[in-house]
Amino acid sequence: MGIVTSPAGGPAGGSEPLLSVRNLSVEFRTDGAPVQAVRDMSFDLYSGEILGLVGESGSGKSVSMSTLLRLNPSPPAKITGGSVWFMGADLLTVPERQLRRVRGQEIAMIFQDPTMSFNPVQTIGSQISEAMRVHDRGVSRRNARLRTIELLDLVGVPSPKVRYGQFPHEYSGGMRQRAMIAMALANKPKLLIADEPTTALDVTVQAQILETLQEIQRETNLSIILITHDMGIIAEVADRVLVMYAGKVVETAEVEPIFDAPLHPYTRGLLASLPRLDASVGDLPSIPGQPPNLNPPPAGCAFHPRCELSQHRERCRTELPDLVHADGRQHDVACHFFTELRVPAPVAGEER
Amino acid sequence: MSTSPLLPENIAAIDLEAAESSTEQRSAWQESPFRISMARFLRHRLAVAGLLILAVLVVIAIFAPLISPYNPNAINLFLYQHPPEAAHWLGTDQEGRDVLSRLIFGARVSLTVGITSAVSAGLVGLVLGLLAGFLGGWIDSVVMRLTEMVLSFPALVVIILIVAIIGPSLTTIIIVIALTQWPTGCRIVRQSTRSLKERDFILTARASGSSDFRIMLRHILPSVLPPLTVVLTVLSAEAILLEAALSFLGLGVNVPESSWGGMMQAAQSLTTLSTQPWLWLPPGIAIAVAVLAINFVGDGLRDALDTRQQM
Repeated sequence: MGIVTSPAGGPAGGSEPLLSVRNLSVEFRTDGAPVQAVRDMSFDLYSGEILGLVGESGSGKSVSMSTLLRLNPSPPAKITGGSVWFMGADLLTVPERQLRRVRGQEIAMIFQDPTMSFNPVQTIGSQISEAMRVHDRGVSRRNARLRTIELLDLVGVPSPKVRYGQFPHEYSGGMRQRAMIAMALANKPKLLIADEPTTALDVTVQAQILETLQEIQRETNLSIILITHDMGIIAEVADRVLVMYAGKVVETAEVEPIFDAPLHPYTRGLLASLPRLDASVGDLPSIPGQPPNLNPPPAGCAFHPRCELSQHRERCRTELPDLVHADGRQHDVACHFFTELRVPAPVAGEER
Repeated sequence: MSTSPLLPENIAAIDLEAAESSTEQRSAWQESPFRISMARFLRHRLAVAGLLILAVLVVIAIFAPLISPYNPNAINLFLYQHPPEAAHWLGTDQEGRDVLSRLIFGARVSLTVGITSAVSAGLVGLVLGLLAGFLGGWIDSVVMRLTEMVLSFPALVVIILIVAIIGPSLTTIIIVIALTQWPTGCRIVRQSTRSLKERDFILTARASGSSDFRIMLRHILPSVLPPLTVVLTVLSAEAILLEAALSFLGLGVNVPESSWGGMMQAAQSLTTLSTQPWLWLPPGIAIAVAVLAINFVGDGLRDALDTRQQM
């Protein structure tokens, strides 16, 4: 057990992480006090890994990830500390010019709503080709077109040659997200950040898109950071999980330990509120209360007002828990009393 | 329009094996925003009529030397203020020059001033509006204060003042009109740019490594051109009127070159106004027709390019 300060050995065992985020903090400066959207976030990502980033709305998932590429407009966003190490450079300090070469080429991003992510008055094909030509000035229009058609085929868009010349409104939602994935893959990035890629899609399409992502990951040894609030998706595709609450990482581990023995009361709450097929259907348990206001965040542990473990304990209200190694399986947790939780996760339908 | 067969080029571009249904093949070009707007414009009768009139005026202006029966500047004192007759369909003016010929050559001045000053004003407005809207901050403030300054002066007075100082000529008029008319286009472009840059596809473009300049060129520019075009039609109609007003006041193109506004100078005299209508009626009608035609086209464009209906 110890405070996490340096890159710990990941699943690849001693190899260098592809991405190393250290003590990242982001604020939004508005009229009142600054909103601390991301607080002291640290994690490592290894080559070929799918990292799931979970948390409810406003927990800082999306903000922290778009900060990796400095995509948040500033003002109001302000990076107040930390570093993002990727391929030997700190992305938070490199000049904009250099960062542009990373965007799309080394780290690609796909967003929640594929309908809004394409320019409605340009064809899908021309937009994917454009993404290619941004980084590869030498590629001819003809070759860009051919490669785009290949990509559309790869992500499972049927009759890609016809689809190339169509406009976004002629695509269905699922197809559009596939095209979005094709665009993200256009420059063979090493890391793909998928910000709730299936939230705007219906359930059957969701499964297909996730499957496509997994297939591509296997074929290209891409690393993926998957932002979601759906624990079901995490269970299905992620290798490792990062749970965020109120801008802080509260628990991180590989997928099985998270589901088998969650150590943070918040993670437990999230899992308990998942509907199960093997339990009687009553009211689903929920975490009582609301996520805290982050300007400023509550003193001590941000989760304490809603926590079943805390129960008016002085320490929870005053002392911010550090993220500590809980055991040997890279299971880190930020809770003063997590040892009291070393029991199986509750199941929906039982007591809360 | 809607059920026309495939273009041969499109067939060639489509792999027959991959093509699933004929509807899918057709949609690629039928659904293009340009085509939709075209179809919508062509349904607008007045706009089409306006476009035809403008086309005729442009042809007349270009081929003026071939069409006009006489040299517009040839003075013939034996033909002093003749009313319309077989040899001079629209009569002759105070210097005995053929009114019809001067009217035909006058189209050159009016259209040149209208188009050139509107396009120059549009270009200035486009560049400043893009920069102000996209970059925001102090650039935005400076540009906006500048537009307010220009708009707060009565344009005609400023134009007269500047022309009086520099001296009247076609180039001066065009530049001066452009300098006083650019804020309208600038504001429209800035407005559209500001709403466009908040769209998600701009974020997508940025996340895939596009520079600000590239985003402006590839995504913002094509989308601000339609509303700007509508503004340009209004501006060119206004420019034609301004030129006419300047020429009417004697600050237009240099004599003896003819322009519609210059010909209207004759109407300054009460006797001409009441007894010699062939001197001022034709240029007056020409100005009105040209301005109306341009405004109809602008109306049609506004309806055809309305993005709210398109997306």
